[in-house]
Amino acid sequence: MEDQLIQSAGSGLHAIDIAIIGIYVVGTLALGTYFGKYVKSAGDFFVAGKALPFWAIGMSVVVSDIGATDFMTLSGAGYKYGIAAANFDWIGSMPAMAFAAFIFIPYFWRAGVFTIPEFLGKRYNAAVQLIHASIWGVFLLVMLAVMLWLTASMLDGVLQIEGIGKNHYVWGIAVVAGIYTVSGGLAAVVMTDVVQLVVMFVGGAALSILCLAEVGGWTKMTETILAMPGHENHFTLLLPHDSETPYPWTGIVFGLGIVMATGYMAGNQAVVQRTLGARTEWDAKGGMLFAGFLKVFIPALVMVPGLAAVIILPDLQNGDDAAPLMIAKVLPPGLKGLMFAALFAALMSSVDSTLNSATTIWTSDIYGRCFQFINKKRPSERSLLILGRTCTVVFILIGAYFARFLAGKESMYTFVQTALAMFQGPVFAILLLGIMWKRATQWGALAGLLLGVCFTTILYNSEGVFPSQDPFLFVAWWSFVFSSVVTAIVSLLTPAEPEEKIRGLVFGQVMQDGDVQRVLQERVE
Amino acid sequence: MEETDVVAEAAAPAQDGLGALMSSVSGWINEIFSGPLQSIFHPIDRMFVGADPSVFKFFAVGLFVSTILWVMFILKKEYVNIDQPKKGLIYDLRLWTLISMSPHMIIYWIFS
Repeated sequence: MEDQLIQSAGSGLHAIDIAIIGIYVVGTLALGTYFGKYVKSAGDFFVAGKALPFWAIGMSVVVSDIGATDFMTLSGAGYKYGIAAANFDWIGSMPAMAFAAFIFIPYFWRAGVFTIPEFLGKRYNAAVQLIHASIWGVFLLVMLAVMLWLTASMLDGVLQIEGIGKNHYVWGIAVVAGIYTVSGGLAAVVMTDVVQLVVMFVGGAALSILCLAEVGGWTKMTETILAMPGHENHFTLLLPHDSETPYPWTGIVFGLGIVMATGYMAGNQAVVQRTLGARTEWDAKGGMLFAGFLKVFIPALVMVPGLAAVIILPDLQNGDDAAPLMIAKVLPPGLKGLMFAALFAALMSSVDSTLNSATTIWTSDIYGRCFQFINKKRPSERSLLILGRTCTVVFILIGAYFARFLAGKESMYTFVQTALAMFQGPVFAILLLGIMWKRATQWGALAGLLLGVCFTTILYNSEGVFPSQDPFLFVAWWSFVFSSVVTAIVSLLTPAEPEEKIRGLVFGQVMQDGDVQRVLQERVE
Repeated sequence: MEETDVVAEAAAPAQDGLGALMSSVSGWINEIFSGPLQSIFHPIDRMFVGADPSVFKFFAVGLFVSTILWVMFILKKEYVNIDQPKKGLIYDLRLWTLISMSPHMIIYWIFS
């Protein structure tokens, strides 16, 4: 069904549309590969030699966040539930990005860590680090395969070239994304993201403007939709607590605004890695604030087609069909190619960001930790760079090889995504307590993490506990509260960590102690 | 963040071993825990049911306002702007915070 829709959206593609898509792909490859000449060390590869300006960080964070299926699903959620679905880009971004900018990012920056598991390992113990790194490492690899398959499906549906199937496109995309990610590392990923964001904004804006023109403008659209039975709340952001939609206001403010969004912005490797690549701490903070500003526009770009479809296509069975059908209906030649380039940009940015983050976690946290355990010393810069590039090649090959198998194994994708969602509340709890409270101990964190995941699993699978039919926001809030309480109680019952161990790893010390600052500076250098 | 970053897509019907295992574990957990959990969480739910929309708006807009006030007046100016490339209002991240959060806040003020 999805393939048929993409085919219908792509039908009638003219030579100019295909030329635009081709120029986009070649341009991305050339730009990404160009940055390879600046990569001389592991630091250049993983954190772009700490040279990224705020505008590139901000744009890259935004475009990486627009996932492979978001164009379809956000538009579909807008069709079904109205603008309440935009909460994920509004209250789900900005307060959290400010917290990340002024608490977490400067802290990671000054504490001299490069990944979240690395911090958890230093602050608590190797078990916490390996549990967190392993779940993220596996999740990112599975996501890579899924994204490759989705991108290939889209290209196959749009281009419909005889003799070339989805598997050919999978390997083609793997080669393009693999070449520039291997060559240029994070710098290549970020700078291609900048171009991808511009393409996405132009393509999305064109579609939204034409959709609005089709329904007579914003005012006419809102009046018409609000007059339709069952659509009274379509332009209300905060819905009552007992709403059966996934977006009750309590879940949105507490679960999303405070826990999930902050946990995501401070604990997502793709986001943190970009800010650690900043040329100064000011650029790292400014990049997050700039990203928060850009996020205001995302629902306007991807949700308006879904809202317009409420009027133009009122009887759709599946809201996710709204965006492809509106593309087919309203876009003229040239703009249709631009829109597909925008969709392709969203998919490619997800592929390259996932690939780069997976490589960093497997190289730094899993290989690095095991190497240190066996040899009692850290791996050298040169070996990390070689391993980073090798891992990138191996992972893109694994992703491309397994993509077609995962296409028929939806339960595997669901299982891994569910497992990651279950970790978010507990991980944010131990991350926050580890940074803010020097009395948090390794055993408290381990208990908080493991019992927190058990509690989340129970909440997820118990029916009728919360009013919402899909209560993931409530689950996030209560799992965070539960894990915080468990971590605090077990920490108080176990001996405090030695001062030397947590030196430079607790917020107050890192920010205020001059001696600690000097030690950290030496460690980084 | 996007909804698909944190929410598992609806599971496909159990077509393979893993899917069947997930379904059976889910059913087992539901059977044992849903009753006790309902007795804990339903009283909390009842406190929020029927709240006036002005309460929703107060909490949502309050989250934005309190974050702006925290950055502008509680955090030290030197801490916020460390490594500032040049002196001047345009490089002051407190102003950036106000500018980047205001559109979000206005949206919640209008559409709540």
